[in-house]
Amino acid sequence: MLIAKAVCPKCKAGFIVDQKLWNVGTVPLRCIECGHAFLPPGSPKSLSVEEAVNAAVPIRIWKTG
Amino acid sequence: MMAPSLADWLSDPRVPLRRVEDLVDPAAFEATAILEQLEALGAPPPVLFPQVRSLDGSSGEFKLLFNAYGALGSIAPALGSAAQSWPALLQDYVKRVRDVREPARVDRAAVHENAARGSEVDLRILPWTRHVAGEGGDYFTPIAVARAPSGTRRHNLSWNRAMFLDERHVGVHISPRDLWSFHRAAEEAGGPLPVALVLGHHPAFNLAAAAIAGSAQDEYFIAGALLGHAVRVAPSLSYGDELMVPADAEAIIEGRLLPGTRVVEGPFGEYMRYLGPQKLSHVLEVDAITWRKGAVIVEIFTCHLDHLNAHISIEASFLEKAQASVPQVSGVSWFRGGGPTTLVIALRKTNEGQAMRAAMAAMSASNLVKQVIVVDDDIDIENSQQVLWAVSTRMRAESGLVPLKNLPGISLDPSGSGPFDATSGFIMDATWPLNRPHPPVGKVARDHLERFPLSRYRITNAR
Repeated sequence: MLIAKAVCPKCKAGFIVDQKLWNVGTVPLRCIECGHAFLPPGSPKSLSVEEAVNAAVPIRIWKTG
Repeated sequence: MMAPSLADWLSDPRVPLRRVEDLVDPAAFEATAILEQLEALGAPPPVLFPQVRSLDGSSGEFKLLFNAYGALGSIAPALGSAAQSWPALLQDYVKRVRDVREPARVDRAAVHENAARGSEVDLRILPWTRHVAGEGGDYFTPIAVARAPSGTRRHNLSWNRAMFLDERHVGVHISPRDLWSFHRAAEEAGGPLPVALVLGHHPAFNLAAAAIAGSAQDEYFIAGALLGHAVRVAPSLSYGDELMVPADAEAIIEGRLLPGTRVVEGPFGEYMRYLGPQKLSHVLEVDAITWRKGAVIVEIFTCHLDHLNAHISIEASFLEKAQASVPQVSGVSWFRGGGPTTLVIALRKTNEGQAMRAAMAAMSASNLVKQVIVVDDDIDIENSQQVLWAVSTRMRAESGLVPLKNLPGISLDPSGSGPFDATSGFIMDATWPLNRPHPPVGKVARDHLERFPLSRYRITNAR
């Protein structure tokens, strides 16, 4: 398990994120405290969503709230 | 005779059940704050919360139970065992799980006494829980029941973390095992996978969800073995015979794992005692909630003993594999206090090489274990200090320590790395060599202890 540490730009809460999700970079993370959605800063954007979840079909991201 | 229910287990006088009579709000960490303080006092008892607040603020429809697996005294009665130690319980488990039983179909199910279907569904009527600080939402730890979409059409049981998303959706984290494969097959065919999230059942049923079964084994059969009776199954309300559900469950969420859809889910407290990270998980669209009157939702106290011990089915698989390969294996145990990635094997060694063979056999059962310590059978493998004493005094690293590289690990192991969570480990042979004598352990002889019992003496506090 490789993880990245995220900090919410709105409320400054810290939490851990799967490195693969972080490396996608186009999927908003969800703050565990305030629910704010934000993109991981500095993500290399080196993985597609499909690669990150090992899917053989196109994946859409379900939006909360 | 019917299979035992959760109510039967709760009324068993051997189960050290506690009740919290006050109304608690599990989504505000109130239940787990109580549990944490109880665990600090010793072996955590099962705790029933008869009055809990649901996510919609109501109370009274559902009850919550934690720590069904926290202590030996709770699990042993569930498995019909009188074992007084964990290694002895594993021996009983291995015998019991062999007696698989075909599920019995019924058309009337207690779990269907109440139902909300379609537009009536509102998941907020349930008492979703926050367990430990840092979790990303309100959760349950249900047993997911799914059926292979083709081929054997067998049912699979798995333990999953399930996060509330909205009134009709749940984020479900699925490890890349059977359920993941079932969904992938359905997804590639362009359709959803029907799944039942079982929110409460007899603890023996739930333990089947962690069992390591053959790829063709319908796991309702294993649940029947652990219960000691055939599991009664009924057609699901939403999918009929396409998905059979356990009729004697307390509550069930019926839904479809959507194809081509993922959601940001987590973090969540895991059995390694660390938080698992926020990640992309599957989405369940809910078609029905069903429950029996007075339903008790069985929930895991994550990151705590309840969570670790809920995996004894895997621990028992290590024993089964090791004993099948080396009959001189007398027991196995997690390294107590060290978590589930390190296994200790007790061996009554008769030939050199048995330690290595037993360790390799145990490791073949699951990716979970990466480190194995083998000790002689005079060592109490539940006692970490004794195990380390054997390592300190009986092992020579040049011959007894074998590093293992490039092992597939588990995604929850924080030490894992790389795209497939590869890890490394070792086998440690801390048994005495057979070809030379070893010193006796210094002890006062038993007959001297009996001759001079402590009760005979006046011993005072000198301070």
